[in-house]
Amino acid sequence: MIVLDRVDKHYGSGAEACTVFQGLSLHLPSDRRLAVLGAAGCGKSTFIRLLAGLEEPSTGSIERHARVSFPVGYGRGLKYHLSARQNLAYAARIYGADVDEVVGFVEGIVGLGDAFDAPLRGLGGQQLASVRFAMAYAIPFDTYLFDNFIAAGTAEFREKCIAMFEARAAECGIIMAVRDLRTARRFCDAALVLDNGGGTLFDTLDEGIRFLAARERRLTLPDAA
Amino acid sequence: MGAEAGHSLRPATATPRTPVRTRGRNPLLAQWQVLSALVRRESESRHGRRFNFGFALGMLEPLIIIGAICLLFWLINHPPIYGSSMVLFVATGVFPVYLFIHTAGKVHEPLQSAHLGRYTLELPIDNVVAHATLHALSSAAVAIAFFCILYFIGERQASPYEPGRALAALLMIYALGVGMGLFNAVLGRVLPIWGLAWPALSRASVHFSAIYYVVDSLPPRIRGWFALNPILHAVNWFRTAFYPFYPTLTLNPGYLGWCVLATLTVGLCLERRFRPLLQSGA
Repeated sequence: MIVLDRVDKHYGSGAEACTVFQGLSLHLPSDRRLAVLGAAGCGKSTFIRLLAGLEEPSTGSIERHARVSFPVGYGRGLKYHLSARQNLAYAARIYGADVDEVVGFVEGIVGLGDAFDAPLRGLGGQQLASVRFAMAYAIPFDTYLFDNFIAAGTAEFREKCIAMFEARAAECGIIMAVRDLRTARRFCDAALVLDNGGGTLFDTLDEGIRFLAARERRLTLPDAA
Repeated sequence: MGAEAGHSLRPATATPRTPVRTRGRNPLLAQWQVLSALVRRESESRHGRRFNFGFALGMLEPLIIIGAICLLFWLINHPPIYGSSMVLFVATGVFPVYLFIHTAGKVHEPLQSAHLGRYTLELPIDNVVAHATLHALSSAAVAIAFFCILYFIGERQASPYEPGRALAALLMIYALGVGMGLFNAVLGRVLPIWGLAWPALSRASVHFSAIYYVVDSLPPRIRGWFALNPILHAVNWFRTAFYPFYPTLTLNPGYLGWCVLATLTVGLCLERRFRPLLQSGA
């Protein structure tokens, strides 16, 4: 369970102030496959960053009664002068995971060979992406956060990512910001629709999608009456 | 599925063994895990480069300063200013002063925007604690090694006759450095010019901290102004641990203590108040 209590989030001040969330209070399930839906620019990514703790709410509080991951694929914690092995060991340590297990798993899955022990700054984009994604899947959390992407890298590695996703989703919760509904249908079974600084939870994905569609219809085709 | 031989695609602990789910829940344990991992990682790097024991490299600066001052006084054939050894006198001044300068710098470093990348569990303040801890360890190692070498090459006074007092003086100046570093980090973000001015100011302060003179031998009129400098009190306090009869007219550990308390409080409050700004990378 993740409890949001009257969360406000705004950026800037004065004339440039921009409010993303206002009085957002929710009890989010931490053990479902929850899709975070909403129109472009409604704050899906900000919402994931708030849940992850990468940003603090302007007011209000977020209580996590589960071990919540960083967004899968997040790479700003990496130190590029250190090797993949050192970075993974560090991440495993701070999240209280078994270092050998995490490092061994990622080493096997990314297939970097000797580059695994070279500084990250020498790695290519695909290789870095595979380290970032494999790292997130390798560390045990109760709830995994996603910001639009569940896979990256080569086609072969993307398949591995989906397999890792399914392995995790079988045991743990998923909260995923999704732009496109096909992805949501494939991977999620419940929905949170963000709209106008607030949010509505739906027990099934279809209800959420219908609600979203109704909202959008009302916006694009205002009632003649 | 492109599963490679010998590697299951199931993440390591997809089926968490019992301890995994409860591990990390204890906030103290989680804090300890973060701090110990940070100390371990940072000990392998310096200024964003990979360098084992690189954290000890900064210790060269005080050694060079000690060498330079001693060389100068030796060239002009000046007798030791106090006690029997010029090196010991200068070192008892340079070590506390540089402990202050470098600690402030080390604490400042992780709060600069270039180092903001972090995981969700670590806060900038954790990085501050890790850097400060590592710096304390490396400084202690270098200071102990330096005074031991001095002792064993024949300068018997290099072993403080009151080690407790020496330690207290160093701890105070270290805490002053931590507080000043936090203060600088925030001020440097709000007022970028401060980030340029501080290193120059702090190094200029070396000359006002009685490294190569005895402050009590200055005219009383000037001494009053010098006494405002808390670093000077720490230097004098540190020296009284080595020289039993060192003049202590300009020594007030209480004043130093209040300065430490004030900078630490202001530094920590500023860090908390401006945490969103410090994390924003702006």
